[in-house]
Amino acid sequence: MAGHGNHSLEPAHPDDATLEAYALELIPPDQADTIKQHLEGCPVCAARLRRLSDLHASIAAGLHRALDPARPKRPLDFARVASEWRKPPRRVSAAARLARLMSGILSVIAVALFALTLTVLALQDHQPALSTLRLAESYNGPPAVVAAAVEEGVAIVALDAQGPRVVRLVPNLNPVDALQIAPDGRWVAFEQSQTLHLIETRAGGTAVKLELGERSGWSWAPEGHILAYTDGRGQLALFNPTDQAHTLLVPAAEQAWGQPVWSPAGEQIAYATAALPGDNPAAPSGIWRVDLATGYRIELARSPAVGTTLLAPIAWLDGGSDLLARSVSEPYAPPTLYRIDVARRMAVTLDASTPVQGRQLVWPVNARGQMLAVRQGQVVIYDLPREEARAIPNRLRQPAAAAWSPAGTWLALVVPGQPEGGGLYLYAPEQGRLRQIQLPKGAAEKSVTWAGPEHLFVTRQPDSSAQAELWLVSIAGDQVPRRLLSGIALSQTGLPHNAIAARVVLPSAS
Amino acid sequence: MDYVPVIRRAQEGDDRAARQLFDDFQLRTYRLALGLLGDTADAEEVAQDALTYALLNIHRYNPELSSFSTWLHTITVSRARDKRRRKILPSISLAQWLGLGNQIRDHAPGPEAHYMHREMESRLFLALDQLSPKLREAVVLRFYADCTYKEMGEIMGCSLNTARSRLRLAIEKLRANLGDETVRWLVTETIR
Repeated sequence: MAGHGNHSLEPAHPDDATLEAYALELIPPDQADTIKQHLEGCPVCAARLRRLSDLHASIAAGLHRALDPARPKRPLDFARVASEWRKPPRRVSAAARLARLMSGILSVIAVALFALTLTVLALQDHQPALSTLRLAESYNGPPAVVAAAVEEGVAIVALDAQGPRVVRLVPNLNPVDALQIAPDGRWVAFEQSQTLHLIETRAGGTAVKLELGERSGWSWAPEGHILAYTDGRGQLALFNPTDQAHTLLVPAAEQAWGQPVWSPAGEQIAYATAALPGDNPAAPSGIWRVDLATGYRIELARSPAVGTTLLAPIAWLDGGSDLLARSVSEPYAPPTLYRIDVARRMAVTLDASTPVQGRQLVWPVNARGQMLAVRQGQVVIYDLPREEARAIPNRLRQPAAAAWSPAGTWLALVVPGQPEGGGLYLYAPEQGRLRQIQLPKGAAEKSVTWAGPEHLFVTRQPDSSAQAELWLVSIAGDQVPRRLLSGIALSQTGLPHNAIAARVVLPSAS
Repeated sequence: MDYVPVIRRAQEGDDRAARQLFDDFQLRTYRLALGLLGDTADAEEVAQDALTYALLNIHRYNPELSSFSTWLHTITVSRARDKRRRKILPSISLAQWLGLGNQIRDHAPGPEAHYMHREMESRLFLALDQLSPKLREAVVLRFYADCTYKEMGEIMGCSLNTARSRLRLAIEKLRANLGDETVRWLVTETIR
């Protein structure tokens, strides 16, 4: 007989312990082969092995019979996971946390360097030496913040009852692009090459930089305190400039790019996805939405022409039930427009187009889902939810700029080709009312934004000048149009919308 | 089902993916805990703790090192050990529970066989109850969770050879605890 439990393999029959070990796969392979050969020629040992193995099988069967039907009296509670889930450190992978940490460290270093620069230039911040910018002596419009490119950099100007005054100068930052003011008026954002600068509008406030890639984009939340951005490397994230915290929404592997679009209530963000250079060219371009409360992402539409047509979201419609999107396949051609039913995740091609300048629509969409669009060669007011088009008066053909009033009832338009001072119009599509607002001669109207419900900020460019002016216009006609700023330096593109941004701010934010 | 994409989504913060993992793994975690502890209330508590811990620490899970099941089993075994250490008074054991016969499906053809079946399963679990916790872990992981010895070593925090030794020792003790008659009956019942 074999030795007890030492698995020695004498020609005689293995003992129970050895067979048990064999059955439990505890015998080294070479010895197991020897036992196997023995078992093939020894029915007695084979039967013993079966008896031993059957006990193992019966234990397994007994366990399964007892445990497989067992259920907890009440289903286990996911709420304990859910209540902790939103705490970022617990739910983010090590790689993402490392990336966030590195990003944070880099941001801190960037802020420290920027703060050092600002400290050195502190005197200039408080007593800006501006060679070209001229301010009006008084101001009688709603409190507002203006950011303007000047020869020395970017000037931040407060407009209130004290009159226009420069509160900050951020030097040496020309040329700038995509100048914007956050909805709460607290931050100015602009791009310089691939750096996004965020400058607090109060004197001595902080300044932050984000380094973004080529296919990046960004937009402020509706209430203005945070920014959503794609970083050009595929990530979509939120950034709070106040505490400089980044929150990853979409990882790089999902290839988010371009400008994210906030829903009106700020609870969702629509974003585009596409293959990045070097990736699989057949990867489809799509439009997704991310729910900020849950982090859940869902695809809303996919490119009709894989590999050739990119889709990009433009605006949420009808309170968030629909999304307007465009194609970006040909930079110089008018884009195809799509209306996406968010609930049904269906995209419908619209029989209309609209011009795009950079990442922005030249003719924006109002809160009711109305926009100017070109349809069958005609400029129309296109009601997107109803899919109805209405002709506009002949004089308004191909406006160079358009802005909807806060309630969406009036459309302020800058119409090119008019005599100096004659390019500004107000149009109420519902009533079909059209009004021209006459401005003084000496400059051509270039762009327009609303300054509350009763005023307009109009950018004008004196003839043959490389500078621009900002004017305040009362639509009630009870105040004479006034020049607020002059000597604004146009950027290298020569486009006034890159050189100046103005936004009315709530008294609490100002 | 391939859980790798779901796990990846959960690691990226997608709470729906976490919910899916919770739903899909809650029963098997509970059953493993019940096999380890033999007590339904303790098993519920341990399964809840293990799943909650696993999902809230999902970023620590590395799919290149082990399967998600193995990782979750490791947490469950660890939680079961903690529970056993803290436990002062036993509640209803699995053996008693089986003896009472509640909630267990009827696999036997007639009342007599049914009774015998329960009786033998009760004896099996009474025998399991008499094993040391580590030997019981080896039996449950091998014969219920179908773990390899390597996985058993990872889960129990011991070497592969120690896992083998524990199982072998557990079988010997089970055989002794069950007695020849029960072993014969169990074997016959399984073969039939």
